[in-house]
Amino acid sequence: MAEPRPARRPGWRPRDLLRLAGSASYDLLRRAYAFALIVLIFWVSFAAMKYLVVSLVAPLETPAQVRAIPSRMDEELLHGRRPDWLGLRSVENPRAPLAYYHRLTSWLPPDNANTCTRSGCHGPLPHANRIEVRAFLNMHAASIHCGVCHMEHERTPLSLTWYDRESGRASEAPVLLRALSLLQELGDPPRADDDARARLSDLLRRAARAADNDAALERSAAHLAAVRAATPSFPRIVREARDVVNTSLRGAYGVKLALKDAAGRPVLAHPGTAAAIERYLREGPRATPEQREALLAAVHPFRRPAAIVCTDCHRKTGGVLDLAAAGYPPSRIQQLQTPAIFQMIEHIGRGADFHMPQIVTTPVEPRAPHTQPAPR
Amino acid sequence: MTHVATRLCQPIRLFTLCLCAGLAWLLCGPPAVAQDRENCLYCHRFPGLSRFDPGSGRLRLFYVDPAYIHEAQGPHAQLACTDCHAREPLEVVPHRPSPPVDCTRTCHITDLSGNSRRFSHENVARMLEQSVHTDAVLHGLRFTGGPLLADNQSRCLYCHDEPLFRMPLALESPVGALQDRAFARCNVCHATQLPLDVEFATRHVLSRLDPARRTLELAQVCAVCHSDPALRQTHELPNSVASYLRSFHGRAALLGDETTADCLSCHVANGANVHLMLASAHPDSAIHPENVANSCRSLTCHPGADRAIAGTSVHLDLPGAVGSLEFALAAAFILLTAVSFGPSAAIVLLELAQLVIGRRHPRAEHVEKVIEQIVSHPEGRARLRRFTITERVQHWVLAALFTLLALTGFPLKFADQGWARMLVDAFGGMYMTRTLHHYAGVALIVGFAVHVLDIFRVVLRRTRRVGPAGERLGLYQAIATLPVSITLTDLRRAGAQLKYLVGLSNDRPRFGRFTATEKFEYFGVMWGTTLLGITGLMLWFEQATSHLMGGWAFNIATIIHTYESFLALIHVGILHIYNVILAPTVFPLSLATLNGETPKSKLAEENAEFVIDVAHSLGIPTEEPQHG
Repeated sequence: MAEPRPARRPGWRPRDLLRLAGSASYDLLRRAYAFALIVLIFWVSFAAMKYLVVSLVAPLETPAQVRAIPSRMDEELLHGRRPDWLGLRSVENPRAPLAYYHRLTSWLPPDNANTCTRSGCHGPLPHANRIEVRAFLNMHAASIHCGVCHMEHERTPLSLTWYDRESGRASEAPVLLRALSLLQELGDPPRADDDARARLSDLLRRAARAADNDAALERSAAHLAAVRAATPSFPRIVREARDVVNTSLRGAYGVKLALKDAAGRPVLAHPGTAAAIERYLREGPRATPEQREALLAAVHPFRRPAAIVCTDCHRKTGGVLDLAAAGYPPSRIQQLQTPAIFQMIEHIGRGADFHMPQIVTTPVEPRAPHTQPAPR
Repeated sequence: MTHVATRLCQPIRLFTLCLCAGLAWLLCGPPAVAQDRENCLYCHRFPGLSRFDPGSGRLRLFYVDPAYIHEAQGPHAQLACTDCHAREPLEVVPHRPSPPVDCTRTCHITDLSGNSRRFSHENVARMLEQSVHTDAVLHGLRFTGGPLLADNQSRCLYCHDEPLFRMPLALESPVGALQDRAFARCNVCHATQLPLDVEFATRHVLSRLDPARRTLELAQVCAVCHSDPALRQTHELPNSVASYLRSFHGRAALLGDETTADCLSCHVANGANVHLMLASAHPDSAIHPENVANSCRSLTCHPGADRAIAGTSVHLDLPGAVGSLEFALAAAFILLTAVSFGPSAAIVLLELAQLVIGRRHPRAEHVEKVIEQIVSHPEGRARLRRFTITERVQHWVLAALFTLLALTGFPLKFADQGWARMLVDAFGGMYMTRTLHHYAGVALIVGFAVHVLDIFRVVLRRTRRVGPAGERLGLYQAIATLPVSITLTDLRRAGAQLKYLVGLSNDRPRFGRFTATEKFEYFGVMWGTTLLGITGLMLWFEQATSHLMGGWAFNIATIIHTYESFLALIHVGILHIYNVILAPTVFPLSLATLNGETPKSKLAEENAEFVIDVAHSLGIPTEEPQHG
C-alpha cells in the first residue's frame, strides 16, 4: 500500500510567480496594443473624414508638380536642389526656367564639402564685383575650391589635391582627365590591347556618371565596350572618343581641386574658424562696419591680401599651378596655357576689349553623325 | 506615250512616284551642318559661366547645355548662336550688352535641299494678334511677386523654351529601339557620298506628328499664367489649370497618360493652330457654346458621342459650385460616409476601450466553456462554422477584386500624390491600369449577379419549404428571415450594444450567426457594388451615356463613383481589416473565411446566441451561472 503523499504546503512557488508575471505582462501588452489601435484607428478615420470635408470646401489649388516650373531666375533657383529647380520629374522634358530659354538638363553640381558656400556666407556663384571677369571666375568655381586663389600658401607652385564633392575626402585626379591621358597614350593611329580598351571604357563610363550622366560620354564608353581592340572600327571609335572627351572638359568632374595640407588632406575651410563663422552669422547683420571687419578677419585668418589672378595660372612658365602634377594631360595643359587665352585674360584684366582670336572662332570639326554603322 | 501617261495616271503609281521624288529630295540634301559654327561653346559649355546679381536678385546663366547641339536634340540645334543673338556685341570679350532676341527676326537657314533660305517666326506673331493672347495682353501681364521676364525679353518665353525633338508616341518604342541600326544603314552612303544628316531630318519631321509638348508639360506651361493668383485676380480668371487637373482628363494626365485630353484638345479647334486660340465668347472658338460639342466629338476624342456630351462640366470646381447639384451630391455622400462609417468606427473604438480598461462581460467565459464542449462533440466543429465553402470562395474572389479595383482606381483619385504615379507605373502605365480596372469591375459585376441569383435560389427554396404545421413562408418572410437580413431586432441589439459599450448597461446583447455590424457591412457591399457598377459602366461607355442621359451625367457619375469607393475603402481598409486581422480577439488573422472557424474568444464575445443555438441542437446544456 502506497504511502499517502504529504499535503502541498501553502504559499507561492517560483513557477506560480512566473506564471503570474507572464499573465500580467500579457495583459499589459494586450491593453497597450488595444490602446495603440485606438490611436491608430481614430487618427486614420479622422484623416479620412477631414480629407473629404476639405476637398469639398477648400478652394482649388494647382498641384505642386504643375506649379514646380522654376519660373524666376532668382536666388531660390541658385540654392534649390536639382530635382526642385528642374521642375516636374515625371515629365519627360521639363522646361527650362522661364527667362532662360536654353535647355537646362544639368547645371552646377552642389559642393557639399565646401565650407565657404555651405556656411551660408557665400553662394555657389560668389564673384559679383568685377564686371569683366565675374562670370569667368564663377566658371572656375565648378572645379576649383575657393581656397586655391584666396588662401595663403607658402609654396609655389601650390601644393594641390583633388577632393570628392560629396565627402570632402582627398581623391584621385578626375576620371575624365585620366581618360584623356589614356586616349593620348594610344597614339595616332590608335593602338591598344583589350585591357586598355576595357580600362578606357570604364573610365569613360565613370566620367559620364560624374558629369551628370553625360550622354555622349556614355555612348563612347558603350562603343568601346562593344568593339574589340583589333578590329578596324577601333581607331575610328577612339578618335570619336577623343572628340567627345575634349568637348566634355567643362569642369563637371565630380571632384574639385583644393590646397593640400601637410597630411595630404584638402583644405576646405580656414582652419579652426567654425565658432567665428557662427559668430559672424549671428552678429554680423547688426554689427558696425568696424565690428564687421573684425568679425570677417576672424573668419578668414589665412586670406590672401590679393587673390591669385587668372594670368598667375594661365601662363606657360612660372605659373602658380602645377597642372601636370594635378593630373592634367599635356594636351589639356596646352589648351589652358595657350598664349591666346593668356592675352585674352590680360586684355580683359586691363578693361580693354578683346577681339576673338582665331583659336576661339574656329569651329570644331563637324562631328560625324553619331549613329555610325554598328561594328561587326 | 499615251501608254506611259496612262500608267502614270494610275493613282497607286502616281503616289509611288511622288514618294520616290520626295525621298530623292530628302536624301540628296546638303552636308551635315557644322555644329556650333562660331565655337561659342568654347566658353559657354561651362556650367559655372554664370553670375548672381545681388542688387537685382537675378541669376544670369550664360551656360548653354552643349548636349543640345552635340546631340542635335531639337530643331534649333543647327542654328548658329548669331542667328538669334546679334553678332556685333559678341565679337569682343566680355560681350557688350546685346539687344534682346527677337523671335520674329529673319534668319538664314539651310534647308534639306542645301539652299540657304530666309526664315522667320513672324507669321506666328501675326497669328497671335488675332488670338486671345495678343502682344498687348502678354505685355500687360502682372504676376505675383513681380515680372517673370525682363522688360526686353521675348514674350514667346512665357510658353516656349528651347524646342526638343520628341518621337511621336505611336512610334516611340519601335523607332526608339531600331533607330541606331536604321540610321546606320542610311549613313553608309549619306555620311560620305550624299552628305545629309538623315537622323536630324527624320527626327525633325517625325517630331511634328505629335504636339510639341506632353500633356502635363502643357498644363505646366498654361499654369504659369492661369494659376498665378495676382494674374487671375486682375483678369478675373478661374483657376482653370487646377480644375482641369481635378477632372478625369487632368488626373489621367498627372498619372502620365499621354492620350488624354490636354488644354489644347479642347481650346484649339481640330486642325487649327494653337497660336490662333480664341476666347470662349468668339463664335469661332473651339469652346464657344455652339462649337464645344464638336470639340468633344472630334475623331480623336469621343467621335460617336451625342451633342449633349457638351453638357458635362470639364472644369468642375466643386468648392466654388455651392448650390449646384454636384455640390449637394458630394455633400450628401460625405454625410452618408459620416453616418455609416461613424457609428461602426465608434463601436470598434469602444470595444477596444473595454480591453484597455479590462472590462469583460462575465458571460463570455461561460460561453467559451460551452464552445469547448461543442468542439469536443463529433459534429460540433462543423456546426460552429459560420461560412460555407461557397461563401468563403465568394469572399476571397470579392477580396481579390476589391483590392485590384482599389489599387487601379485610387491612383486616379489621388493623382497628384507621388505614390499614385508609382503605382500606375508599376501596373504598366495608365492604359494597363485602366484596362485592369475595367475588367476587374466587370468581374465584380458578374460575381455580384451570381451572388444575387444564389440569394434568389435560396429564397425560392425557402418559400417552397413546408413547415411542421403545413405552413409556407411568404416571399417577404423568406427574405426577412435570411441570416444576413437586417431586422428590427438587429437595430435594437445594436442600440443595446452601444449602451453596454458606453457603460449605460451591464447586459451585453447576444448576436446570432452574424452581428449587426456584419449585417450592415454586407448591406454596404450590396449597395456599393450596385452604385459603383452602374456609375462605372456609365463612365466607361461614355458615348452611350451621352446619348441616353447627356453630359450632366458624367459629373454625377464621377462624384458617386469616387465618393462611394472612398466610403468602401475606409470601411474595408479600417474597420474590416481591424475586425479580421488587427482585433485582439482574432490577431494575427481570423481563419473564419479560410477554414470557416471563427476564433473562440470572438464567438464568445459577439456570437453568443449562435453558440447557444448550436449547443441546444447538439443537446449540450447551456445553463448560465448566476452572476450578480
